[in-house]
Amino acid sequence: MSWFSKKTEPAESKVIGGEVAINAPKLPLEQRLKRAENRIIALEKKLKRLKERPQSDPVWAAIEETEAAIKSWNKVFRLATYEMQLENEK
Amino acid sequence: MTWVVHSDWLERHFDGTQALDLDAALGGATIKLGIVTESTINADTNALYTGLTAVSTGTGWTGPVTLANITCGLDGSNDLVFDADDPSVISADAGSGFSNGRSLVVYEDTNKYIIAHHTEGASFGNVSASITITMDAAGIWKLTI
Repeated sequence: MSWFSKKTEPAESKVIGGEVAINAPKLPLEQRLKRAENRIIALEKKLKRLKERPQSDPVWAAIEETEAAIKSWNKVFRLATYEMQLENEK
Repeated sequence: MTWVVHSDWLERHFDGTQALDLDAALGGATIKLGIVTESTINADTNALYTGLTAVSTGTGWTGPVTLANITCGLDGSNDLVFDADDPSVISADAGSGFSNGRSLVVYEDTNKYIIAHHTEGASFGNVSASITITMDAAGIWKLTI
């Protein structure tokens, strides 16, 4: 379930702020899985755009950082997937 | 509680006077997260981070932190989503921590325009315990089209 309001039909353009929490309990498993999935998709898009730049462009330095972030979120995703499997097997 | 996006910044972003490279894919914007004492921030009139009162700094909180791995792009529903990794945990600091934090502010670091803020219902701080900030699974904000 998204924390955002559902888009109404007919389409209504608006800017919607996402939730943010201070010292909240850990995100529910489904939310952690969704967050990791969304971060991976967004970072992979960013990586693709970075790689479209000429290799002489200084932004190429951000490629390693972005690749590392994707790896890190992949770990979160795999861990959450594993936890979900364990939950389902209970 | 949600992030409230600031209208003044949004206007400046789209009219080009404060246009930001929101995923830094062109080497652009540095977006920071600050903590301030204001319990009320007007998204239409409080335009600059420097117009707000930052909490004191110490060893646990050394000042605004850069949001890592910012991204801005279309999601699966073709809505434009701005997001970043969660900031690191702010460690407890009994000696020099703050206890009067009330709002979180996301702003761009060059001209200090506020992108969004979030106000808590009560003061928070890191004197007695660490602070963990958790972002939404679906991003900091999105523009539905």
